[in-house]
Amino acid sequence: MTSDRLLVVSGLCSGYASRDVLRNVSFEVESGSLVSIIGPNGHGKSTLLKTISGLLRPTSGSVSFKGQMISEMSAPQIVAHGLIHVPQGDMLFPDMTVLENLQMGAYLTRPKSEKVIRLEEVYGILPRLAERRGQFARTLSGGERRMLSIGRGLMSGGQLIMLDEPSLGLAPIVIDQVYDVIEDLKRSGRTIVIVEENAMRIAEKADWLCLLDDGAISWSGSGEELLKQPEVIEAYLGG
Amino acid sequence: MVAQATDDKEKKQPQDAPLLSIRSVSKFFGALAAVDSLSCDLCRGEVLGVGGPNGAGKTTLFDVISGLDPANRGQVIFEGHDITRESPESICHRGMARTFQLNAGFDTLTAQENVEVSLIYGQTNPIFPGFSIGSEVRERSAAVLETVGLIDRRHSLTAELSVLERKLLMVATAIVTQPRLLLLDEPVGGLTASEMDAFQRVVYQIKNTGVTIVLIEHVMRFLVSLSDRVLIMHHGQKIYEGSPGELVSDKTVVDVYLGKGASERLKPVIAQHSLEND
Repeated sequence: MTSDRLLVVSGLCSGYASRDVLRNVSFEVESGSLVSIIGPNGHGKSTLLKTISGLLRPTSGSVSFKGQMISEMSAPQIVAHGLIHVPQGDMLFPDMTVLENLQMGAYLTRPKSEKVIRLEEVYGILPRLAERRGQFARTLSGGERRMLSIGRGLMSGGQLIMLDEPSLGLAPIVIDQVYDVIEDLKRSGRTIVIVEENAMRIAEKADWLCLLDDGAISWSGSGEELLKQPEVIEAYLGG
Repeated sequence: MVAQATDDKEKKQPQDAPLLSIRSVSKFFGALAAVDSLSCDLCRGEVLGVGGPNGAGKTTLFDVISGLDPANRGQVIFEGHDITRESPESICHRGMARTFQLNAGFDTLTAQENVEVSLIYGQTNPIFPGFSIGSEVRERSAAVLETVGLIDRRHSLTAELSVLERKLLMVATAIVTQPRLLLLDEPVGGLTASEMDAFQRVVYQIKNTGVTIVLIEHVMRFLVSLSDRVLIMHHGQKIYEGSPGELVSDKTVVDVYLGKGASERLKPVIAQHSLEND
């Protein structure tokens, strides 16, 4: 394995008790890149993220991160190893303040001084969270909630952050703000895997896209290549 | 017979009278006015798109109109009846149905059973709903599933349906009550562009049957393509009411809701929409 391949997913199969979802999924993510998983709903995009982050156990295949097999690790061990999963729907602690939610993201972090450094870093990337630090999460707007869920993920200090539909349910102006944050994260050297329904939008930003169709990767390539594949767009993504 | 006489008077509403009239409606949560003195009339057969930042009060407005969370001030008039403080089921029986942002189907029932439940309870209040479902209910439910394109999935458990199918099922459970007014709350959030196109075709079909539609949506391509008129809310108030075409020229709307990027991306969609309507 070359050193710039941060995440390597090989022959991954996974699913739920009643049905298999992922079928032999393989792809690689280079350090510092933005890779997007696109495709129709219900075809395994969120299941893929859950399997990589250890929330679901693969039935076969493997996931390697920073050269180490993580597919046998528990979800907390994977987080401690530097892989962050920001799930769909924010999943904040509504009756905790913004600051407390952020601190929960650094639950595994030692020493304490490291938490303070990370908090300042998150406030630097997401200044709105600093303004709202004492406010209960349930009182935040949709956009602020999304920023907090990303910020809480960053508090664990990982190198790779996986975002599951970060623009879902947000006003257009807030989607632009979330995308700005994602670009800031990329500039800061972090590696990003993003599940996005709006394939045409993410095609402009992503270094690489993987189309997940019925649990298998049926196409992958750059954003530019995607735009030259009208049959892929027509069949799976729409205009 | 006074009530009957009143009903008769109300039934003689002229066809050009608004189907729904929202009059200075306010809804408070503590000191916060989630909907603030909002007024709007809705003509029969039109599609009104409602947009606005997260937390602007759009879903609260739907809750107020549909009786889930009645207004503190103002009036909601539907087909000449003051429904401001009526129960949600009574409003539904009058001919108004709605969908929700999150899927609201019964997971352990099949798609067809969900529609049948909605048909049985959505038009009257049966005292004895009965344990057998008649052939008429079955046939009408199947016809609605056909309309939304779910007929082949009618025997599937709702929990096993895809995101698009669940959204279509929610529409089916709403339209089976034969509403004159249909409220759709963020119906295409989380759908891919091609799934959105499929959903849009179903909404067009419903619109063509004469049903008046109000839809809340952040996906502006969908909102602009479907709506005859657009209302934008901010902090519970109306900041824009007018044609979808003028939306991107309104400075306040661009500043608080669309942003410059989305406004630019929306312009070709609006141009296309205008061409199709000419």
